[in-house]
Amino acid sequence: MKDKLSVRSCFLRRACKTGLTIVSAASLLMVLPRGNAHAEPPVQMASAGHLSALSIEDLMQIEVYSAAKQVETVFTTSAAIYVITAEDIRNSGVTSLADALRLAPGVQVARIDGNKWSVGIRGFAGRFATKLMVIQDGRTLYNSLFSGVYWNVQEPMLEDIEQIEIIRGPAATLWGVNAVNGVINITTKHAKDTTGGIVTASVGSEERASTAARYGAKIGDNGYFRIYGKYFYRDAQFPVDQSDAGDSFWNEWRGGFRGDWDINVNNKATLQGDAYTSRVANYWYNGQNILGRWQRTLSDTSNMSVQLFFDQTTIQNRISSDDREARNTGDIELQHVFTLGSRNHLIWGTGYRLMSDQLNENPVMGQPTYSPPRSTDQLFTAFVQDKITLLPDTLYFIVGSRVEHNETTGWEVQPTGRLLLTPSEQHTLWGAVSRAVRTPSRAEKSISTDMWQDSAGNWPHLNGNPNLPAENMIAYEGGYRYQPLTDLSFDLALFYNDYSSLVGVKADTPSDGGVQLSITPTATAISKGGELAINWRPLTWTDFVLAYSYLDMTVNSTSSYELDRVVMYADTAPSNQVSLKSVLTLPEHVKCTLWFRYVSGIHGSTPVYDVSDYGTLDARIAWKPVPDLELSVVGQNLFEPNHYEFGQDVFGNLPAQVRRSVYGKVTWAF
Amino acid sequence: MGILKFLIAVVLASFLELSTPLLMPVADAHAATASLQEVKFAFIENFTKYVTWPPLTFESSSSEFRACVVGNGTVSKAFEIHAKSIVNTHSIRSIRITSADEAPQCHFIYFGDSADGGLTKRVLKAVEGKPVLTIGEVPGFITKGGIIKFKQVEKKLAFEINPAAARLGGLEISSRLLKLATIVSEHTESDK
Repeated sequence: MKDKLSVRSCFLRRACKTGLTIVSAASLLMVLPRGNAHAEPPVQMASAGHLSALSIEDLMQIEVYSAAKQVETVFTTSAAIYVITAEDIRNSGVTSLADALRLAPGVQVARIDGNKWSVGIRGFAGRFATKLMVIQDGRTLYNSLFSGVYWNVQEPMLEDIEQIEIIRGPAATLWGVNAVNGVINITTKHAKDTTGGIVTASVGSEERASTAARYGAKIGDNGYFRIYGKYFYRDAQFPVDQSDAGDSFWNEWRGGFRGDWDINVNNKATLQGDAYTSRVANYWYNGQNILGRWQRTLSDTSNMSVQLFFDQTTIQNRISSDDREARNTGDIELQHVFTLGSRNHLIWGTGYRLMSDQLNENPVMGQPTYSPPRSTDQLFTAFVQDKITLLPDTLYFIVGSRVEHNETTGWEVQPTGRLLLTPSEQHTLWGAVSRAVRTPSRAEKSISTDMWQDSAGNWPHLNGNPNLPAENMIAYEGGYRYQPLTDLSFDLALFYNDYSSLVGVKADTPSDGGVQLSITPTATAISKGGELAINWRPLTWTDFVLAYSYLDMTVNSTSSYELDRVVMYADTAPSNQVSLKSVLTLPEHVKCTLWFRYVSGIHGSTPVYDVSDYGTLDARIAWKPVPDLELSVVGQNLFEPNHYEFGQDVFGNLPAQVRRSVYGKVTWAF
Repeated sequence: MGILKFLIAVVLASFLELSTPLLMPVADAHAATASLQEVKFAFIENFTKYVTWPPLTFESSSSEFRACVVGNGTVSKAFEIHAKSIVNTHSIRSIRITSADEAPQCHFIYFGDSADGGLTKRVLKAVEGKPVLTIGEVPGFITKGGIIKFKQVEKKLAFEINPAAARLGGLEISSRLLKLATIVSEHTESDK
């Protein structure tokens, strides 16, 4: 691919320090070989000068960090993409993965309570939001029970995250079902970049106690390995009038490893795994996973990778052994990237996933039951995408499709067509039309549960539907990126999403009274909007990032029942979001971050979703008295003592108010 | 609304910070780390000081020094900026080369890690035995005839030199540089 792409000296300076990405959304969209970082690291011109004065002896003592491998691919990607770097995460002072996602435009993050988040992209946000693909190092994190993510157990060691890549809009051709509204792709660092030790400890008002340690070293001639462990104890947020709001203290132990071997020039292997145990209120969350990947370079223009992972999670009520969710996922995937002639960059792949679970069979303490309680599902998938060069360095046409077979809705085809125009190194223009589907979740097919009391005073009962069709979306998107100066860039994306067969509920009243709700496709929806991100670095020591997101959603449902819109998360995303972050590098090794956010109010069809607008500020000040030691103080949500960010969830759990908080942290590297 | 006031305050504070000359820019909080590519360029600037081209390479001390780069636009652009400080006796012209035919005019060629494998091979072949200093980093660079190759050892950058390849083109490499390098030949390159 190499120099065929129009490239940027340094797009969105933020992305400059991102590193080798094993499975990179940008690289996939660009049809670059994954994990084989051919793209050139960019250079920070601003600070390059000071090295010139150094002798070779001195230069040989400097520790180098691998700079971005795909900055230019981000600038010239034909999709709305944003990269949150390791540095962004550190500067922001966030302590959990879900909160880190607030850094990106187009992502709606709301903290429901101390241990639950609602995360959505371009709408349909909720605790059980269904239309996102979330991946860490190639392993899918979403849970097929509800096609969403338990964010409270996705807490990797933040210091080891290389980057979080976020695609707004459908990416189903490359990423598969669920990648309807977007993809969140978390990549941890290559073990080579985590040699040495790091120990962190923090204490605070909400982040009560938290500690993490990692150690990495070279093993053998061509391998690197690291292990890590972390523990945290977090307080509940500010509960509402009801004490059983689902909010609770939350603690977690987690450990894991990653090994990377460059067996020889053409063969690379990765083995990694994690295990955790977490307690939230009366539930134990346990999980472990292991993943292996082998990448082989077949020729200068051809790469292949095979990946295998196994993931196991359980959620166990500590009072009743009957209330339990257990899930096993095994997955194998093959990908091949190659160049055909001078104009075609192809990527194709195929995969197989086996999922088995065991859920509640008998009603325990008001928890949902599932019929059948045990299930095994298989998923076959294959995709191909071609990036065709129409005019070298200027105009590309990207076309591809995924074909998937699942046991509920059978075959699903998810094509995409994209046009990419890169007239000069300062401009990128792209447009795309894609189809994506969301296949029914295990819960939608088989759940049986009581819902909250409706306004008519009924306590409805919800029943799953084994014959649901897939939700369907056709998306029309476009974007423009402009970098007038090395240190100033704009990224604008617009979208128009046309949804059909959205899953809601219909009510019928049986003769014995009560309300029975059945899960059924009830709605169509149109969402339109856009996001703008501006990066500006007026001086080498100042850094501003502005992100604005706008969303306009219209849902047309055939069901008049009030919980219909609640179930589909129709009214959960704010129309306007602003994030302005400034990072200042001050003398005496002091760094200061101010991060302002504004989220407009949500006024849904039911009063439970009425959330007022809020503006808030996080501030962080960090000092490095010596290179290996960092002391920082972080204040979060400083404007108000507490505020709501979300409404009630579908099962009637009440939200808590997010509290103002402060914590101090010590980071020691050795 | 209080929010608006705060927003204005934040923006104002930011600008005040910008206009305060007391807060001097800090290029790098800890100079002990730097980006890989930055360090590579700094190395390159040094290399050229320790390499002597054969007397007839330049017609006069003011004739042009042609620094070439193989790789994508990012590296070329960055290289262009750094090329200015490569040598101080000659005027510098940086050239991005995309075919082997353009190679013999160069006095120096840097192969970025985005350099195409096939092109690298052809360019090296084209300048074999000519007074052209070739610096690269891709595996097999020395085997293909390259002179200096970067390699990363743990978190630090080091380099290999093939003196035989340099001699073939009449380039003289100072002993000080050789002392710091790992000396290799086409057959002993670290990773081919």
